[in-house]
Amino acid sequence: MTTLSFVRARKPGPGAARNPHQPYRKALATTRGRIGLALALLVTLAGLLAPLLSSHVPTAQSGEALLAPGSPGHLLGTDDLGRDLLSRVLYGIRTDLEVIALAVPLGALLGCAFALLAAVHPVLDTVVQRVFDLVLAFPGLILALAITAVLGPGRLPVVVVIALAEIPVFGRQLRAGILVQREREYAVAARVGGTGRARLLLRHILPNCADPLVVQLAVSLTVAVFLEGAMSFLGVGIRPPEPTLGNMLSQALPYLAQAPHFAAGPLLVVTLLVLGFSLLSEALNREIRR
Amino acid sequence: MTSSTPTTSPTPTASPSQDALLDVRGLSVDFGTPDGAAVHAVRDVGFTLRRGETLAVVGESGSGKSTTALALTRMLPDTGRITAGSVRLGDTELTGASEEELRAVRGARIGMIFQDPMTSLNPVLSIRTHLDEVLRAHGHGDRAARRARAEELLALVGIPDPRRRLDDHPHQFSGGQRQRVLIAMALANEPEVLVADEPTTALDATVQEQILGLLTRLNEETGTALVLITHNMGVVARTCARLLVMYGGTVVEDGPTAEVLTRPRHPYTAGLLAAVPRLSSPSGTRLAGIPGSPPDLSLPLTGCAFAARCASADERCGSEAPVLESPLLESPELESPLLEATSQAGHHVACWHPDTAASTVTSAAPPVRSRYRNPAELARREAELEVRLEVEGEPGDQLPADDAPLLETSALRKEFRGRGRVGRRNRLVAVDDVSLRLHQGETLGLVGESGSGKSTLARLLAHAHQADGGTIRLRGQDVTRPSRTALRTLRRQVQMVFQDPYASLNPRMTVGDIVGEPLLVHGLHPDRAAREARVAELLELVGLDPAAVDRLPRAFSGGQRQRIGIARALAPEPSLLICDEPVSALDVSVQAQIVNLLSDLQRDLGLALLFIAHDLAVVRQVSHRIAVMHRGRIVESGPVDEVCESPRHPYTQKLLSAVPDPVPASALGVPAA
Repeated sequence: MTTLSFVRARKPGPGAARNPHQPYRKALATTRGRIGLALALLVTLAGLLAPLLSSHVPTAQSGEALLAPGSPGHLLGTDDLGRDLLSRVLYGIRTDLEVIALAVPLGALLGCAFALLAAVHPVLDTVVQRVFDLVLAFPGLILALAITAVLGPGRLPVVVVIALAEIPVFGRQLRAGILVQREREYAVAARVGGTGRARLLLRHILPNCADPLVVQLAVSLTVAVFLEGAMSFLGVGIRPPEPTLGNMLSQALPYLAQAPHFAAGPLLVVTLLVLGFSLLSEALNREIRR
Repeated sequence: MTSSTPTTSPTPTASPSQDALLDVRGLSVDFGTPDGAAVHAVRDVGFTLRRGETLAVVGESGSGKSTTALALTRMLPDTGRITAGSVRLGDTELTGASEEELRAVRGARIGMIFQDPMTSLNPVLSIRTHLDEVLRAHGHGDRAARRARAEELLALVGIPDPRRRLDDHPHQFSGGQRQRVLIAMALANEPEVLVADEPTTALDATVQEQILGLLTRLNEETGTALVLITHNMGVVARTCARLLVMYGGTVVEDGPTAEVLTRPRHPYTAGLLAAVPRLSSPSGTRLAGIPGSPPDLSLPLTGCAFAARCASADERCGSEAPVLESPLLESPELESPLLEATSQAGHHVACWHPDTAASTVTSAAPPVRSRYRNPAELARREAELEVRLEVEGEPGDQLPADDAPLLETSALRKEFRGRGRVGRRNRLVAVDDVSLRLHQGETLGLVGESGSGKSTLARLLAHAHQADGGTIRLRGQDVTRPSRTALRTLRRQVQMVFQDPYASLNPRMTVGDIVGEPLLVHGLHPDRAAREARVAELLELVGLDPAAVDRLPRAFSGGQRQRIGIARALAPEPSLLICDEPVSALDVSVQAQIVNLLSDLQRDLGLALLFIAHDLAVVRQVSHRIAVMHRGRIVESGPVDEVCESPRHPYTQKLLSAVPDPVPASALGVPAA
């Protein structure tokens, strides 16, 4: 447009009113949302049904076929110790999901709790914000190394690291929402009506901040998949022989030239899972911003 | 009023005469919704604009007036689509024109001005750049010539010292001046038509007056035809010669302003006129609202759009759409002088019963005023009028003779400090030395323009903000800085109704929860069943169906939402109700319902009411006493009729004279034909 005297009407088109709970359903009905959901469900289901789907014990070694390619007995082939790769991938998903399903909601809940705490008093707010700054100041992997140094390797440090990394993310997100929502007229109206501080926060403000948090949840799942993978890859996470997607990749690395099928399985699954969660979060985000 | 007098032109609009500039026929616009359904925002709209004519398009929100204006140059948002009809500008057909052809029309032959002058200018560009760009886009001369023209334009729209101000940026101009700059931009290429979409809605009354004066003057001097889109009848009466009334996406009435405003033929026009509060009506005058709410535009239209709210509607109105035609054909039984005037004036109405509307209005015809622009003269005339009314007896002035005021404030003060050192130095004193008294059962009207501190004062009184100085006394007790327990009891006594019915209700809570919340938090009806019964009772009190408790606020219209807000405020049985601009976000016909509801509740429940508004006419009708606020201070206060008729403070006088009255000056002395 070259003429400045024309400004597009900013008036939202008629019918802009929407059901506050519909965006989620609508987001899942978009192509992006459908594919995302299907991918995430597919991988999750594979993990959940691992005992049924796998033909071998994931840690059972067999000396006969080392680094063998796919065959009727071992669909994805075997690794350097002769373990069935399909079984290991399926159980690896299971381990990953267990860690993520515990860590992400834990981080989200703690983050929200801190944000609500910060909303009570400006002094508390400053304290909480500085603690968040401190956590955010460390890159995820440095944090992971530091925590493993204290706790030792295993599942616990992975859960702690993921949760810890997510706390400030959710905390900041919710705090921003609270700051916006509490100046809105309905919040003032509730205050004038005599609603107490706790009820105002939990009953009025929190539900109206929920939308971005749901998107953040989907994003955080993606990040968590990465973080677990990275930690196991570096050997500071869950230890072999227990299979995880990360440590399988780590083990496959030396054999990348001789036996590319070794890395292919876990790589594909990680890609699908991350793609699924990303598409899902993007679909939700687009629908909510409408 | 204006230079053009369409009343003298006997040419029927059916066959466009030679001077027809803009000819719109059968225009229909649909908006697509995310669900795939279509909203029929404009349905079969037709009108003709002659050269130099001033035409007002009046309607409430959702009537399709803005959409019509945007559709003229195909400036509709992406979801909008012209489905039928034609728009002819001279010999050019615009509905089928290419984007290239349209660009040559936009800004050059049709100029547009929008509602919000605050956001319509780019803050990083100087005014000269803004004007230069418009001129350059249509190939106007070289740099020096464009600069000279820009200077000339600023002078034309009445910006003092244009040479120096050219290089200023938008933030250095006031709201009214920005609107002037936008008008200058629209006029830069001497368009044949100037379309102004609610140009004064975002402005204060005194500034509105100046902008309307400017538009009228420009129309006279440059001969630019003016299409003024507004919801405000007063603006129309002051500015335009011809009037188009829209409802539910259709044109319901079309005719000379004086004619339509004094003798409306469509029941909707008549109802709308009766619903407009008039400054000349004394305190206690009831407004006549139109029952019901505007139609759902996503439904197909069968019959008259107004049928559902119309008192004289019959079966035919609901099934067959009336055509816009001269009422002459429809009502041969009318007496001849009126008939003569009507047909000559080119007055058209889309109604099966145009005769009934006329009679409705005669009964509702208001006391008239406004020929006198001089405030002193105005006041004198009003006083004369008042004497007449007093003899007939008027309600509203009986003040309860209770000595101890319910609410008393003295030297109340509130400052807002910015952040950092600069903020601390330049603090904004929003409320300064305000002393008020409000008795039980009394309504105090608080009037002021935007930024005068009215809303801050309301929030201080409702204890949503803490006062920085002074005292607030409720029933003689100092409640300026209440303890937490004192605040709880205080919250029961002082309740508030907010301006924006869309923002003040939690979108995630049902109506029952919203209204029931104050009961719950104050422990008034601990028993669930009793609470539900009380909520139902409250909803009934404000005129809502108690069956609505389970629905979310979005299911309600603006007026209904405001009723929910009132029900919530009344729930803890307060003795003081603060209404902060309770009707300024509502349409005129709905505003009347809410104003009447508030006065009834005030009377029946014996509430003390603090009614805050920028609209003097509304305040006058509901209030016993009035306080005028200007720059954080109360500059004048007293009994409402006294202040309105003989204002003492110059600011009050300015405010009073700036209120446009919906009865046109030409309609008073001179007969319409």
